[in-house]
Formats: sequence, structure tokens, C-alpha cells
Amino acid sequence: MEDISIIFFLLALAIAVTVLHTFLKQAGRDEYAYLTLVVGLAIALLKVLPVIEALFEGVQSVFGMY
Amino acid sequence: MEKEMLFCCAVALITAFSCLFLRESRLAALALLAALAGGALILLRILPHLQLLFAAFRAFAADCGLEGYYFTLVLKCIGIAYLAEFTAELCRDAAQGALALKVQLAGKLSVLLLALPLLAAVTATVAGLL
Repeated sequence: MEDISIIFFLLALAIAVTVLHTFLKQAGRDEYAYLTLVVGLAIALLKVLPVIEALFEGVQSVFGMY
Repeated sequence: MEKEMLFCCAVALITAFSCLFLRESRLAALALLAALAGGALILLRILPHLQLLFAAFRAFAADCGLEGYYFTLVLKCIGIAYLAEFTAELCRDAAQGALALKVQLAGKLSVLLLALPLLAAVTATVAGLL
């Protein structure tokens, strides 16, 4: 069973991405700064997707929808 | 069961405060994702208990002589309504009210279509009485 650590992972990811984005923007690398945002979002999606899938499968089996 | 309740409260509070923080960060979309994950965690924790409850209801219905087919139908309707509401609320949180309305419309249509055989059975019974 999944646990609460995924929320904390999202928090840490947001902090890291924000720091990296600010740093790269200050350094004048705007294109890399944008790339960090995209990569961060992709990582978050990849992490959350299994939870959503498990939820939908659970609802399907409990409510008898096949 | 009280342990599950405690877990749900903890997850809800942590997710709510995390969303406040995430909304201020560069990745504001993560706030929605965190809310989705938190809701999924809570639901995943209570789903097994829900299954127990439904099994008990099914036993009651069988005792009362209700056909299992009708109970499954009702269960499906509840499931569809719940999924539609869950998705619609998330869409509304993402400031997509139009999308939420469409999801709700789809849910209502699905429930209506599922209930159509029941309606037909009722009509047939009434017609047989007359």
C-alpha cells in the first residue's frame, strides 16, 4: 500500500525545482530554467500515476465495474 | 477502524498544507497533483472497508429476496457517481468548471443508461398489472 511519503516527495521536488529555476534564471540560462520546470513536472507525474492507477482499479473492483 | 480514521485525517491535513506551499512554488501545477495523490491515498485506505460493507449489504439484500443483479446495478451507479464527482471536483480545483460540468453530464448519462433496464422492468410490471 502506498503511503504518505509521496506528498513529501512532491514537496521536496517543488523546493528543488524552485531553487534550480531561480539559480538558472539568475545565471541567464532561461532555456535551461524552463527545462527544469518541465522535467520536474514529468517526474511528479510519473510518481503520481501509479497511485491514480491503483485507485481506479480499486474502485473498479469494489464497485463491480469491469 | 479508528486507526484508518487517524490516517485519513493526517493525510488530509498534510496534503492541505502542502498544497498551500506548492501553490507558491514555481511548479504550481504540483498543488493539484498533490491534492489528487492525497485523495487517492485516503480512498485506497478505505476501499477494503467499503468492500466489506458492500458484502454485508449484498447479504442483507439476498436475505430480503432481492436479486443480486439489481444490487450490482445499484453498486455500479454509486461507483460511477462517485468517480464523476471526484473528477469533477478536481477539475473545478484546477479552475476548469466547464470540464467539470461535462464530466458530471457524462456521469449522469451513464447512470441513466445503466438504470434503463430497471425502468423497463418497472414498466413491464405495471403493464402486466393493468
